[in-house]
Amino acid sequence: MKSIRSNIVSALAVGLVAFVVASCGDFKKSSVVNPPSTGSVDFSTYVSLGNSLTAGYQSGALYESAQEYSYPADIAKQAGVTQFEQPLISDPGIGGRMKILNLTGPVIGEDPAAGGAPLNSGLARPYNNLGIPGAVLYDMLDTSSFAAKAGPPRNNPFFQIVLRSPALGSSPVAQALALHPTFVSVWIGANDVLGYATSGGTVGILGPGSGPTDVATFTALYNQMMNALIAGAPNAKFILANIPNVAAIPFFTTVPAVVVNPATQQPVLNPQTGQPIPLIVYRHDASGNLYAGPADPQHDFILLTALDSLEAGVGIPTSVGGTGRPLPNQFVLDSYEYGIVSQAVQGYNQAISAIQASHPTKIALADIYTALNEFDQTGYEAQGIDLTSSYITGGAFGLDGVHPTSQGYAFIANIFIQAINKQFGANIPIVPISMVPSSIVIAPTGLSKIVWPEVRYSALEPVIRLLQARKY
Amino acid sequence: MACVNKKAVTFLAIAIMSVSTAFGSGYQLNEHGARAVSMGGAFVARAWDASAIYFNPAGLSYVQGFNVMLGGTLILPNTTFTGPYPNNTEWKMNSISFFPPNAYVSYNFNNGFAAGIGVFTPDGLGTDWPQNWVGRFIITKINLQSFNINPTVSYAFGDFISIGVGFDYALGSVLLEKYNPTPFSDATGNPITPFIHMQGDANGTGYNFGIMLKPIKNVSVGFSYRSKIDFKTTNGNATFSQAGVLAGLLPGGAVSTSLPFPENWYAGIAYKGENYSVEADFQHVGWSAYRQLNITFANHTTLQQNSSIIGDYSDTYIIRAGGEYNLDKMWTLRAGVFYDKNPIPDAYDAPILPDADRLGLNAGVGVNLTNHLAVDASYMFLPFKQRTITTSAYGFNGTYNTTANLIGIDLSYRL
Repeated sequence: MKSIRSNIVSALAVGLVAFVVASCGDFKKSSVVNPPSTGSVDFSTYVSLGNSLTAGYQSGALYESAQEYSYPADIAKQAGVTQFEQPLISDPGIGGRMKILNLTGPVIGEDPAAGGAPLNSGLARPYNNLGIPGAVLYDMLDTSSFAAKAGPPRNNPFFQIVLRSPALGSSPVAQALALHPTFVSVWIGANDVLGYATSGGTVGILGPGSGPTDVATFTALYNQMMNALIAGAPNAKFILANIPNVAAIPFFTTVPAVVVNPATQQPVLNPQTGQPIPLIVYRHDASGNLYAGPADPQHDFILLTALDSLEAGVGIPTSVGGTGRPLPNQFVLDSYEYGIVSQAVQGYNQAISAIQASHPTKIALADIYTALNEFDQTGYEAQGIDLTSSYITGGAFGLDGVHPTSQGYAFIANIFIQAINKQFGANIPIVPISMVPSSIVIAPTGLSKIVWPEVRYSALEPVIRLLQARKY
Repeated sequence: MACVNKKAVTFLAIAIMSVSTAFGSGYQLNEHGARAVSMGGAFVARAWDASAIYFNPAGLSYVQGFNVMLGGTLILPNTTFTGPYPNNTEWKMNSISFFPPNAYVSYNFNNGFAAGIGVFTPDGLGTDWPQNWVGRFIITKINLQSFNINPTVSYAFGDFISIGVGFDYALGSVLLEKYNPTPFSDATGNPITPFIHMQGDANGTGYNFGIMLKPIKNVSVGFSYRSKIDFKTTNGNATFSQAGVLAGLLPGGAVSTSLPFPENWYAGIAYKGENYSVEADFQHVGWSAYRQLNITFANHTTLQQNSSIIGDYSDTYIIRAGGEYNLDKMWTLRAGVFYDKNPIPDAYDAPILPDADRLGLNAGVGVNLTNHLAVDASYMFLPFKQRTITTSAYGFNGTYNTTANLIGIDLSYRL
């Protein structure tokens, strides 16, 4: 009896061990994902080319605590790059950093335009981040004087700040190549259309009255730039980013094209029809003729710059207490103008895609156009933070309505990183957005209630001007 | 006897201070007696000690004389989160330990009737993550403490069938802490992330009943049911700190919440030999009762709004098997296993309560020190399945790994 029972006990024990062993596959800890790797990319010298978006410009200024979270800085950090020099400018930076003064009255003000100063202008080589606020595609190969661009008509101080001396290279591309880059990111061309779009179609690439850079010119310039880069750095890998849709950016989507009751923030309805009342604006008809009339609420964009005028009653019909004067053209990107913008963006993006497609082992594509359209539709939930494209409250775009916040730039960096990982067999970790500080500056006064933000035109004007018109 | 009771009171007072954890799936605890635990919790058909009050009140009629059982389970968990996916960064939960207690008193009137009272912790939850961790906008700390007071009576119709019924009063507290994201920073670039601390006492009531049958010689069958308890806060309060210029919009104040303790039923069959017994059980857990935890403020502002933690749990089950072998009059050896299916869908498996299917491997020993005094000890190794979430509703994808060691001890005094 005794031995039979011990046999039973032994059998149970063996069975238990077998069960444990069989279960181990599921229960043992295994390595979770592949270890970080840069795949076929050599990150020993990373250079980024671009405009304000690449520089890390935020809420109307370029300043250190924003530059620290530029998307190229994010990519460099995630890829383990140790030497990534940026043209840092002390807070509150240059450009006039916008900040929330108070959430109850006129809410947005700005720091002095020259509130900060360059911090490492003595670096004896070109910066790794060559993003220049206000730069257009043409500037990438332009060898004309950096200093001269600080004067009229461009009045843009950033060429001199970022590029410093022709001795370091006579153009952004030349400075990039002087570093013998092993990896180059390029996100350029947005300003070729944004100047036109943010001025309500009034100031194009060649000054007032012109349009965006035409697609043929853009394609030729882009090919020329890439040929120079590939010839100058034959072993480097590249990532190109395309141009976003302006309809995904709060500068264009915040202000509705209908009359809004300032107290309730709800559209005022026409008592006869029960429909919202369109603003009175200057807009173009389908053949491009300018006229004053009701806005098309479905297809016209009222710009963030219009808020001052709307408050003064401009654009609002007399029947609902306005002046009845039409909103000036510079505050409206009407459907005709949006058609011109869209066509340009589509054309630019085709040119960028074509270059990428012809060098698939050398070049990756960050499809920012698609990513921002999706973001505008659905937002992005990351580690308990819910980012959306809403102005201020969405957390992704800064106070100028065009440039991302630090968290928004991290979202952009992750689009780049995912494209690099896919194209080059890399496994660079993405930026956890919860580890990036929120960055819309709020002034230290008590707040009791959040109402409709009011943005003074004067605060936005420097940004608009930065994005505009260069006579070259 | 007075002496034992006094000790019991002191012991409980200390133990209850530190009650909290979640070591059944969801936020349920299934460790309510070292003897049962060491046999994989398969006990409903053999609930022949005072812990029958929890496992199956019908068993109380088969527990002779006057019994006092006191003990608890030391739980030592270890949880890591690796992510956010596809990142490989490992975040480790702060080291925590729990000691949910149990205490049972029973008396058999020797006319078929028996009565008893139990105090135990059927639900509890504790997670504690570093303050600066990647998921701090989801949770930094949550602590659900509860203990149930469960007076019970039973009646046996001879040796063939017995029934038992009890009333369940649960009391305890709920605590929740996390950071709230805002789009803002102060003028020097420091992000404004208000920290919320919510705390409140809570209580709820329920009931339980059980049946035990001995249809043929050596075989017993048990069924036991414990009802759902709605555990509601009574005096919850929220305070915000680190809110900077947003402090005026985050006044905090009275807050209320409630969460269900799920219903359970157990069914088991046991075989008793000359000096051994074995049992297999099935436990059903009514987790579908937990849809969401609503946090309701008394005062509202633009920023201070009600919120909810969605769970969308499913009903689930635990399969248990175990047995004991009496070496001699003094020593009894025990072993058991169980498989515990978790109730949380991928989308809502979050660091608030990271859960996964788990396997319990149990062993234990019982020692009759004297005719009146016995000690039962149990050890459980509890590995969780590695769980990788790729569809998180919190934008928080990654991989959770948990293991736990549980050491239980119970002291029984019978007269």
